[in-house]
Amino acid sequence: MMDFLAFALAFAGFSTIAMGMEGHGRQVFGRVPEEGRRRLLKLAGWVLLLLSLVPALAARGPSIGTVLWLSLLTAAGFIVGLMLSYRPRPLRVVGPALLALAVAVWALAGR
Amino acid sequence: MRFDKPRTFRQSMKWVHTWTGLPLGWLLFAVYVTGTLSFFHPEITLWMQPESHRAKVAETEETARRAFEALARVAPDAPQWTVSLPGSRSGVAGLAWREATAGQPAGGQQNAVRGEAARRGEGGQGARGEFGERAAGEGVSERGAGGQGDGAAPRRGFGERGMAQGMQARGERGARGAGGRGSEESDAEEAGAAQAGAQTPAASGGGVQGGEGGRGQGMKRATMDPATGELIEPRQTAGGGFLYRFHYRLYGFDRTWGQWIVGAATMVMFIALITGVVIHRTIFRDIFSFRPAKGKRSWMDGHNASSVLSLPFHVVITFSGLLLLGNQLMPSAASSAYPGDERGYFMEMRGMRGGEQQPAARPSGTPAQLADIGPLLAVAQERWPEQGVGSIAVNFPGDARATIELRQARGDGLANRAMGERLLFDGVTGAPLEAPPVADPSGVRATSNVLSAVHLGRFASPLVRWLLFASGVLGSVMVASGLVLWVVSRARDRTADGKIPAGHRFVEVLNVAAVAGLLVAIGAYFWANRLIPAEVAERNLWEIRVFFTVWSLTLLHSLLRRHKQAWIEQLALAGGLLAALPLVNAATGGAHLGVAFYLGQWQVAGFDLCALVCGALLLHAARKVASHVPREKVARSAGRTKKPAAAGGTDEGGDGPVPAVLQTEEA
Amino acid sequence: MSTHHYLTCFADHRPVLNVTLRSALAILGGYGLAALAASAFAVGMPLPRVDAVTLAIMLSFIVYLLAVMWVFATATLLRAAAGLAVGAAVFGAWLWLAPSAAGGAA
Repeated sequence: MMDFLAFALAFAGFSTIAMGMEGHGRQVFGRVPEEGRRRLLKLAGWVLLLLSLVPALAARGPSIGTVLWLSLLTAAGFIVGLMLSYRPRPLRVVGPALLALAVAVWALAGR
Repeated sequence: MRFDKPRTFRQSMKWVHTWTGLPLGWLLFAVYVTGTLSFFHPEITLWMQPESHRAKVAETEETARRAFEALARVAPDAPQWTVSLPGSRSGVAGLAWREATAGQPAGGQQNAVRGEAARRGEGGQGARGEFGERAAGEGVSERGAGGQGDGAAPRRGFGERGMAQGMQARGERGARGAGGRGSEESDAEEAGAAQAGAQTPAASGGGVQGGEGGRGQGMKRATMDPATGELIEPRQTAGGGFLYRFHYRLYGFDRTWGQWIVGAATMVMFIALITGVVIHRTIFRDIFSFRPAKGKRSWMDGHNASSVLSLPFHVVITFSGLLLLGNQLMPSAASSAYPGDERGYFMEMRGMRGGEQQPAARPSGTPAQLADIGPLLAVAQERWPEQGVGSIAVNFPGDARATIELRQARGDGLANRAMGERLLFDGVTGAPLEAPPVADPSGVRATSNVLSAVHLGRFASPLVRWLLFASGVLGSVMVASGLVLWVVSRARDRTADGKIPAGHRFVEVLNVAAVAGLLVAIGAYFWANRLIPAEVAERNLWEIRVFFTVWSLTLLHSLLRRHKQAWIEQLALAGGLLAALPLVNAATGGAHLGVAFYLGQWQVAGFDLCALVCGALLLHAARKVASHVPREKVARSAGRTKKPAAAGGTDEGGDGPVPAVLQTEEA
Repeated sequence: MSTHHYLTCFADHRPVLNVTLRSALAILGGYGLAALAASAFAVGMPLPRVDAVTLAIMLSFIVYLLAVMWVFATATLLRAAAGLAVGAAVFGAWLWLAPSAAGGAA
């Protein structure tokens, strides 16, 4: 559960950061988001990425938790990268949806 | 770029990156691929012994009882029994016992038993003997984590080799007796490693094995079906252990030489990684940029993405690889701080001190009934609800002084070398005994332990193991794409005077054989495992011979064929061989996917599915190469790339004004 | 980074010789420096002996890396060699001045 939550946070984080970039923002939205919005997206993305460390550490402890977190970042980044290359548009929805699902599951299951 | 001309720092680093990466890239690819597979080497060995696939899952308590019954049948007089319970990494139970007649100094025994490594998923049991040999009664023990390597190391003439090897040997493979014998290339390790997991005897192919040619130092082992208590007789195989050992010491070399070569390559990898980061100006900006079908651009993107996305993995794996060989590569550190006594460092590193001797234990000679294991397991289960019990060791079974030790299945705390707790009981009354305390490692040692535990996959979580495996695959893609990039980015020179320069042709040929050829050879290795009859003598060596013969043939093939043809044919062959493995498995007596799922043989099912996916990706890659039209000849819309990472789909937005990044000019 | 501001030797102007010497300096000199650094760290760091050695091995690989980068990045061969020599002098002095290894804390 916590692993999935960590992954969802990482995925949402990476996709948000990507949307805040000039080139990738255009891929996702069809046009480049304006400066302020981009900065906000990037900031939010970084916060999400850092947040994804929390469930990993909480569920797995410091050593393997960190390893898990880093490898989840790799997996999430890889999928975001693939989507940007081949299916960028849905990225707007997929990140938040995944995150909402993970949070819901987490809240319902207790942990 | 020339060093006699003015140049920028980045240009210099670019040169270093290119020219360290290329000459050792072929070797590094092999190291990366076989190392990645080694995250699953016990599972691979299990797959390669289809005789074990029939085992069914049973309750822990039942399994333990059956194991004791079997041991009482085959080794009633043994001074020590060990049972590795089936777990997430193997479906069978591993039994091991010390020969009653083994020349084991009595003093070493009790402690040696502690140092024993009968932990699940790890090379089983053994090696106490080696230690005792040298230091009878000294009884230095190493708690839980795999006595072999440690036990193996200390001995006269224990030098760099012994240290380095103990460093990695420790418990990871059942390398009983490996180091103890100093200079000799240890086949005992061969036997031991092939069965890391303790459940998969390889030594002699019988239901009951001694460590190859008596080298197991009096340890015998067997594999048991947990549901029936029958002893299984798996075929002899080089198993996952061959790939595992190849990845850090190659094959056919003296151990020391193999490790020096891989060590040097690892250092080069480290340099290439860091210089790669240095020359990659916008490391985070284009982390997601992959623009397919753009020729060199795509290769560059693929190379960057596979590097940057799993950069922490690459750095950690490379650096920890250096540390694992560190005693051999940098002997000056230990020899300066421990003049004349390098192994003192080694022993302290293991938490062993000469002063902390344990009292010697001896059997009383009075027979007594062994306590019922059920209640003891219940105590352990309550104590470790998540991990459960990994293995059971019994000292002096049937004697009034018997002890029973339960070891936790591998935990997730890496700082203490992922050593689980253990519980010691009186073997007759079942009363708990006090186990010696375990000291927490210092910060430095904890760091070192975490690094090596990650590298060696010494943790429980299958999820993390799969994620690291995926990162390893990305790393392999990184090295391979770097090699191809060297050729692709020199396309202009190559076409300039109508023929390919000899140096370029050399790189092309080696690229195909080192990348696609290795994958063909690995596929052939698994096929050989099933096609060579199970009774053939030395069949583990035949498997290895098939591997190297096929690999050599791919080199010949890539020499004879045109570059592109060679890529297509070898990628397709590798893909076909791997994708068909589930069928081969089903046809040659293994648990096919349906059965594996039904019986809960996740290890076997995982192997089959992974082979299927990898095979499909390689076939896709072959198709991509086949349909590839060189960039110069096509309009920018029709191009195709030829990398697995470019798999599928169409290019939707990559055309946008993606920031111009990584304008690293060629040397 | 123009070469003209630096003291050059004849090998600096011969591309092949230049690269060969730099490679030799990087591989052999870099290793020598790293090995010396490992000794100095192992003996000179105020840590329990076993930790000092472990950390020394870790750090020595980083020293090796930096030495290689330095040798290829710097303008001339003389500077490359001088840089390694300075490093060696520092680590050598540290090793020499450090309390004798035999007396180090266990």
